[in-house]
Amino acid sequence: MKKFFLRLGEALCVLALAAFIIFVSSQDKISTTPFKELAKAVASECDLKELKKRDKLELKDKLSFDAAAFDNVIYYSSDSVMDVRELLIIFSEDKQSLKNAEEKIAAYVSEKQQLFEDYAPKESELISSHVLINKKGYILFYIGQDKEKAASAFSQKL
Amino acid sequence: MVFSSAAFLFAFLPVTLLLYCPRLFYKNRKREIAKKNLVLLIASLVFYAWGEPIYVLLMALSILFNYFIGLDIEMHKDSPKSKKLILAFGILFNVSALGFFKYSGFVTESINSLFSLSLEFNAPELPIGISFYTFQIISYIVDVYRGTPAQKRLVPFATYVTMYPQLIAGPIVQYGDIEKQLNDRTVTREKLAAGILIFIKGMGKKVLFANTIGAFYTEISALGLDRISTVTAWVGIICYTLQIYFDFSGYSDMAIGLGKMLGFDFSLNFNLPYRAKSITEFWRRWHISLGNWFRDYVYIPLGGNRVKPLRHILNILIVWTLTGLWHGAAWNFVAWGGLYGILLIVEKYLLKNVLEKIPSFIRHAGTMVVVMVGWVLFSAESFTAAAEYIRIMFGMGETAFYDSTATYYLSSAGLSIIVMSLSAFGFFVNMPRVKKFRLNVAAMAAGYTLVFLLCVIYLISETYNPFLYFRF
Repeated sequence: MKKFFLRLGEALCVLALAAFIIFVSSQDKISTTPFKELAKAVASECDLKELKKRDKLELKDKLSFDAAAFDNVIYYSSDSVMDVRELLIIFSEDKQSLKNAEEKIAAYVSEKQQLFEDYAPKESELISSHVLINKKGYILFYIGQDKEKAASAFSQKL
Repeated sequence: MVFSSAAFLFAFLPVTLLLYCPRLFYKNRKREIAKKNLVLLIASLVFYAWGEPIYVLLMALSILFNYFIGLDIEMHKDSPKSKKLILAFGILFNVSALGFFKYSGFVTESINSLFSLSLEFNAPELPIGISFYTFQIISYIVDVYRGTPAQKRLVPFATYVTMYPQLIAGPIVQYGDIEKQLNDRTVTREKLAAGILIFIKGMGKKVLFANTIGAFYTEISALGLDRISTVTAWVGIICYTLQIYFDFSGYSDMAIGLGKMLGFDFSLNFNLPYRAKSITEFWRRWHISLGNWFRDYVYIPLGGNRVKPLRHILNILIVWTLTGLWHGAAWNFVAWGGLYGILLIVEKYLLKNVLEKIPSFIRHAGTMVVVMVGWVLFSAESFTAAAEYIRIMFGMGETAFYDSTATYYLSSAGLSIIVMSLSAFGFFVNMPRVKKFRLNVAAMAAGYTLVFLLCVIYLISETYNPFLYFRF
């Protein structure tokens, strides 16, 4: 009888370990890739010609969220109103802050889309095909050519 | 939670000791130990959950499973075949859990780079201390298999696995060494005092020495390999050599001191390793508990040295590759372990008679150079970075031999390097005056109080307080 309960206990532990592993694997963990390394890899795949690197204050003005709250941010945009290209990469260990930022970016994109959709179809198309990924402590937001390459470089580096 | 933190020193430790030490609540000795074990178990779970709440579940599962396995093995002690199968099942469970949480990411990356694939795998976070407690658990089930009585009660067994002094960074306590203490130990004023002194000594090593010298290495490694001269590279790796010793041995001392305060006697984990005059001697003095574990549970079961030379060489290589892998899931750790394996084989088979004829200071210097090259492999982010750093150290890189950065670090870190090297080589321990000084109780008390206060000031004012062995 004791033997039966021991075996049952062992079997239950094995099952519980399997369940625990499945649970842990399904969690989105923070990437350990250094920010600079990831940003460099993604930027090399993006079309950043004539785009300017902006500071956190300019980012706050445009996207209405406090970029100073994040550990690392890199943001490129154009001086020209008609050039819709943008690249934004954010890193933070605070998932809630990232989620809030993601929502703000989505709202910003939708607003921008509305501005361009009636009179600049090419730009509007570029905006609608934007990349917005929130994964493992990083956000990638990109409007521009070669978006698949940028997204792939981002995922690979994570 | 780390020992060298205000939360531990001023909240966790005093509360634990207050609950743990008083004897007035206990009617008899057996009950006293049982309650002490329970207090220690709860405190250890809180300590672990402080940083890793979810992984307490993993540890709890591991404890339950191995508790059952221990009883199961004992129940089949008269049936060697069944006993062996149960042991194999137990080892498989523990190694699988360790393998998944520690090595799955490394294996996926290696397969991807080897076969040019892009397999995606969401590797989990490494549970703190998993390598240490898994090894302790394996030691328990193997010891039971070899004839040590299985622990019948869950609380003492869980206390053995989770005991917070050595839970996250060792020393690895083998079950056989602590079995009696789990069931019967005393907390005396003398033990408490001795424990406090060892703890303060360890904290001084960690906070005042390791953190100070480690800051120089962090700065030098942040310069980039294209900006460090040969001299800077040597200063950097000397700083790291001292940092890792004082960091790890300091933490071990704190663990041993805490153990003593709780009535346990843990074995020495470091015995002035940088005084070694050969690699064999170095590993007899460095992380002794890990070396003993691999000797008792891998090397000897493989046949040890009582086999043919070729098999002996293979045994050494297996043990050292595993030692490297135990330290980290990366190829540079494998190379680090492999390097030591090869060096030990060379010492045992080729240099055995030659070494004895070489003057002692040359053997010492040679050993230190090899150890420092080993630390480059150990500390580097990648194998390529390590190779480049070693090239620079030996003047084969593309940077200058000496530059103004080297002057800066020699002048700023020089004094610390000298004082800490003397301490690491055991210079102060052997000085007759120091021995005499140690007998003076008042001076000793003042010294330890000063060290403690300095550590507290440092911890309050500084944010740089890494602990290198946490990642293992």
